[in-house]
Amino acid sequence: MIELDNVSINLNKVSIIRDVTAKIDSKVILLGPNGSGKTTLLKAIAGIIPYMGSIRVNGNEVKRARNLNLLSTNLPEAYSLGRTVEDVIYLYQELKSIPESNVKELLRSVGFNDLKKEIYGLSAGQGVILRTVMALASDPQVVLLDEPFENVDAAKKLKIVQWLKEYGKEGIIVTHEIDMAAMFKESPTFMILEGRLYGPVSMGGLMECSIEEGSHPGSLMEVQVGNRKFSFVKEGKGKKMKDMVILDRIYNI
Amino acid sequence: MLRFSKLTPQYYLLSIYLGALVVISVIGLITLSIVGAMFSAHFGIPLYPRNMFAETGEILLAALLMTSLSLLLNVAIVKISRKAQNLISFVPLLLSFLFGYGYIYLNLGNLTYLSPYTAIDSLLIQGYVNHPIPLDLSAFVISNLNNGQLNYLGSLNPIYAVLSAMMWFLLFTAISIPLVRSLYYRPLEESRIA
Repeated sequence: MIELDNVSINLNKVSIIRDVTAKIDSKVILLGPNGSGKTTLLKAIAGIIPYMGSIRVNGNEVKRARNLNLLSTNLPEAYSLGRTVEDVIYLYQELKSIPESNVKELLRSVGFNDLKKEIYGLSAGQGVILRTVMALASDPQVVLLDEPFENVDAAKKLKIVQWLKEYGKEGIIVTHEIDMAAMFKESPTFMILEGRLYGPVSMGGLMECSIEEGSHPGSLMEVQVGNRKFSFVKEGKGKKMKDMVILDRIYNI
Repeated sequence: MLRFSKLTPQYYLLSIYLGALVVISVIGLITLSIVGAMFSAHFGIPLYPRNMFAETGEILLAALLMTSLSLLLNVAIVKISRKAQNLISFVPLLLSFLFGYGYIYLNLGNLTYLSPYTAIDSLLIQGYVNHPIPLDLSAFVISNLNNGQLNYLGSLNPIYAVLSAMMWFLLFTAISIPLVRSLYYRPLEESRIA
């Protein structure tokens, strides 16, 4: 379980996350525009950057966590060791108890066979696939995935959806791809806007909503963008979330 | 990595030290052969290390000492800011100039033992010639420059020098362990100054 209590994060004296409180005990989807703080929040939970407030993973404060082998992530900062794909697999199977055979099998299932390839020689999509496989292959208790569909072709995206459903007990999946996120209808969904966290609401319910300006009675969720307030209304007149194709369109509200 | 994997600072440092030992042993032996060959060619008599066993041990000790110092400085760079990289990377260079030339031209006395640079330097010289070397090397150098009259007090005690080098190595390692444990990721791009 991930518990966030009054978490604030400043990077280079700029406030990125403001006073976020949430409890995450299943696999949740995190949505938000570029620069809203999604990746920053994942980095803080993974112990990669400092934070204020309290972040606990299975009751352990991340600041003081030592050798807790229960959390995995696909953030590139977590895979800075190794030169070739083989090296990375070898090193992390030892450091994070990731079964080598499982990694190779998952990679093979998406046609990733050249394990002698240098990490810096991988395409952007291959890099994402490798890191996502590394994060999921040990079937960790908590998984933090940042844009697992980014630069990945359509067929492999579906494979990744299958992995996300199969591996990892709880955690956070960050994505901009609404068609992929829509495949997790039952998943609680959070939205992060201007450093503030909104939610959780069900992804299925959110997909049926349209965005209306101002407060609306019975709205699924209300968000604040600048000085304006917007509501996600189930039977609204505007365009439905599921028709947006990519999420970036809704942030131009 | 240290928070959510089996990696410990001790294991991390040990891996780096062992890796450095292998690399520096090879470089040290190559350097030793070249230096020996050049001395021999210059003086016309074989002038290879007289105590190869001691010299090899001292190369390994030097490897551990310098690796632990450079690792500590690197950790300090990540801890403080990668912007300080250029400034901090001058620290070993300045120290080596200070103590290297100081050892040759000044009477450092017992400071020779205290400084890791002079301790390891003097040990390597002693291992090479297999003969007690003056604690005050400057007197030896200056006497050569003047009339060849050798006038110095006391020889280097290799045990003190070894103990000093080992103490510095342990100190650098002991400081590095908690620093490594509390490190946060800092992007490489942070070191760019323009």
